[in-house]
Amino acid sequence: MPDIAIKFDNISKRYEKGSSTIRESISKLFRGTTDQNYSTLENTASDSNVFWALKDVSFEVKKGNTLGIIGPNGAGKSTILKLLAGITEPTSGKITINGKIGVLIELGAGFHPEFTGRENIYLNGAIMGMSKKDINEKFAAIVDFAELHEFIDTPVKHYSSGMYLRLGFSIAAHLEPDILLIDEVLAVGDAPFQAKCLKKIGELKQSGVIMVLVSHNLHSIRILCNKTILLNQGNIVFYGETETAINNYTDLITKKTEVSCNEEVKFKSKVKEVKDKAEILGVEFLNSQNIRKNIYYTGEKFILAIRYIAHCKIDNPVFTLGIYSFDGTLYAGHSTALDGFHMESIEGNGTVRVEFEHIPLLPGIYEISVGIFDKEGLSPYDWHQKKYKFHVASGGSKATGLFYLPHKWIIE
Amino acid sequence: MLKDLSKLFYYRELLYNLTLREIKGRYKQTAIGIAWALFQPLSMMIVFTIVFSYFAKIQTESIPYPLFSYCGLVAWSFFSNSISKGTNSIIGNINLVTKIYFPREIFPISTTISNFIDFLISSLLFLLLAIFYKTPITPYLFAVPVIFIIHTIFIIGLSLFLSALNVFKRDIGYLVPIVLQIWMFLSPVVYPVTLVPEEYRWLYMLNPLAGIIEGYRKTILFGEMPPLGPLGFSAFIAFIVFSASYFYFKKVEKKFADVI
Repeated sequence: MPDIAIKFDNISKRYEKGSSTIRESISKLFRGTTDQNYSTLENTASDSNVFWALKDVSFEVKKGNTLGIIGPNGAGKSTILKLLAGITEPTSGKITINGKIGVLIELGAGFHPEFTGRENIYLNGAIMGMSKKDINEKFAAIVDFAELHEFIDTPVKHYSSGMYLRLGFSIAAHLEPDILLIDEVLAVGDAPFQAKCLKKIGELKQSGVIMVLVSHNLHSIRILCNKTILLNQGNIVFYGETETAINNYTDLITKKTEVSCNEEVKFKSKVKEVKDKAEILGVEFLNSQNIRKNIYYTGEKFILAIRYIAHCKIDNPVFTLGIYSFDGTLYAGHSTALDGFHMESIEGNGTVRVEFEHIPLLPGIYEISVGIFDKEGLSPYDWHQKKYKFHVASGGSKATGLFYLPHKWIIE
Repeated sequence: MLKDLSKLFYYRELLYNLTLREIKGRYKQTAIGIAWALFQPLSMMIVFTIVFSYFAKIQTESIPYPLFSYCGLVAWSFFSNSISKGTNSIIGNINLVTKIYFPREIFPISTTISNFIDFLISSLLFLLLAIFYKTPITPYLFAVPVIFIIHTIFIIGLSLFLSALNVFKRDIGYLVPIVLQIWMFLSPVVYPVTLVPEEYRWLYMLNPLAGIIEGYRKTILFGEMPPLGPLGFSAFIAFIVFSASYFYFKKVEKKFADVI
């Protein structure tokens, strides 16, 4: 079947935890890795000493597709990439790959610190399977992309970490593989570099390179991948449309974090210091009928009510609100001061509401920080950092990217 | 195994680059650079000349002791350096082993080649020494490349085995230097085979390096036939070690990334 680039057939991967005795390991060394009797025997013998990174995983990637792999830590994402790259072998099952594999797992893994940028391009290129002729041809493009003209003859030990990563990415991106494996490398470097990498990867995708992308950055998964696998504890939970996979993933995480959140609150309340002037009592998420909820659709009305108590009279307080993506990026920071909303004074119990007519956030999990500050907005009376979470589910207005911006289309 | 060997040809540029990395990396930021390759056998030669030639008065037949011992030391250093560095060649490249796939035997092989360069350089000094002592040129010199090939096959074979074993049990890394030290004194490096009592000599010659070092010495220094029996035995052992090690290496290679 030539239109299938990658095929995983009931792949399982077992790791052995801890070390075994010398006698065991010596006898093990002389037995084969493909010895089936031995592996089943081993299973029953010491089940507690093994760890299954993947269990019966099967999937296919057709030519011209980009596959995303998401899931919590330890789900087996990197194991899939290592199997694809041939770095490790499955314990059972069969992997079929049609095409030359390129790896973007760790940028600059093969760099020698004493070598110059130029020498490292040849060394790293060779490690990734490029011939000297290939590298000669692409040398200028690699240096251009990495923006390292001045420093190409400087030993890389003198490079900044940004320069190091730029060079590593640039070499890998010019490999021209049929299949490119990418593991979290987009999470490195500064914002302009990330954008540049993303653009380059987009170009590679356009040119027909099949990609397998592992990332916690749901944004890059959303814009790059046609299909996405959601892994949890070595099993495929979902394989299909990227949007659905991301929704299932956010559900999975919400369930997990709800438990840990409660624990955290309990812990905090125990050691809670007495806020002598004002305190935030809580935050409620409401819909247009003032009913509490914490799942919204994109474009829906979103109301946040901050309940507080002021123990004495506070003049000109400032209320703040920060909305963060799940990976910690501040998407929006609002405050009564920035909005020019003047509050004379507060005293006793009260509630402040923030209303968003149409919430522009796309499906995902978001965290909220709220605070009451003094009139300069510098020192807080009380501040709850990322203490609240809400969930935007798919089913509302659709868009790609980060936000749904209010807009309309007009034919003239 | 032949398939694996032909695959190596495809990766020759990587082999070249990794060897270069090792040689350059070894001598960068040193004042005299690759000249260090001369100092190890040279300094040992001087010490052994003082100890064995002046104190112990070992007889080396017609050959002056410095030339005699330097010949053995150059051959021995190639073996010993390649083995001790080769043993650590895979665990020393964790970065690459866990991130990118290519045939792993490239690591011990490139270590051996980079030590071969050191071997060449110390051989140059040997050449000067041989000219100085007016060593005659004989047709038996044609046997030297053959002995060298046996020597190298044995080195690569042993490196393959030890480097792989060292991934699973790091004890190997501690054991190898000790064994090498003992091995040197069990080989005719700084003394002639004739020093070994006649009745134990057959046992002594079971050491494959004995045949190899004797081979170099007989052909280059004495201008005689190499000792065909011991050398043939060394060749046989070298081939067995190489084949078995390579087979073992390829079998466990894919486990490296899991264990390392």
